[in-house]
Amino acid sequence: MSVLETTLVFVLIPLAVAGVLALLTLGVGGGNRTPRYRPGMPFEFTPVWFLSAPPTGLSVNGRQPALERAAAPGVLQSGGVIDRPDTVSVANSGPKGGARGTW
Amino acid sequence: MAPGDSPEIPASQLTSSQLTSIANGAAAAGPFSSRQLFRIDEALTAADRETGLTFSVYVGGLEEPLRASAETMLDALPAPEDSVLLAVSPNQRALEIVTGIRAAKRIPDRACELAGMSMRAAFQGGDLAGGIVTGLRMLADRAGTPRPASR
Repeated sequence: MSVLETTLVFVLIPLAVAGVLALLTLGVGGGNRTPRYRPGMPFEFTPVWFLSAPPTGLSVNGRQPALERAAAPGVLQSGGVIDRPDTVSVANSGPKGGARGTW
Repeated sequence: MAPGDSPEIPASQLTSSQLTSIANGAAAAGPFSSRQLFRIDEALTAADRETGLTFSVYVGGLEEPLRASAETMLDALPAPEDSVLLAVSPNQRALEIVTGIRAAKRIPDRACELAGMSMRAAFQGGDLAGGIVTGLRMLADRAGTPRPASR
């Protein structure tokens, strides 16, 4: 084999194969991958707070007093701005149970 | 968000200002895909319907002290006595389960610990949505159906 052939077979072909694999892993699907949480990585998403159903008890004018009330202390507005709980006083509902932990 | 990964989310069930914004197409700002949101919504609805309690899930930063701010959030709900809050703070790697005074009678702290362990196991693997759904199911199972006398 000439030097040119040797280079082609032993350098260019492996490089081409590696390139194709790299394209497959990095390129395809890289664009539409949803950002997700990975432990240890900083979590930079908008905070979310879910309830299953809109608070019942619509007032006469069709607004939602429960939502309004919940919107005051600590509940996120759609714009992503938090009214910090320490700026608004919330009535304490009494002793609470539960659990806590870290991971 | 993957184009094929967006099931129809019943907008009537997606509530609180957060979910309203998600329904408006702001889901990319949150940590969940629409499929995951759908699963969480399903688990929340099922938990509420089975138990008669109000479950809510918060994912985001909590202020120090974590416990106090989680309790403040529970108090902000319309009926805090009958509510259960799962507060997950991925940055602080902390989980707080808060039960209101009447909810705590149906879901003892030991059950919360157990659910919290399962949730933390999922979170360690990076599966936020899975952990939340598991926790909701375990807590709802423990709470059971409301007693007729209490209605």
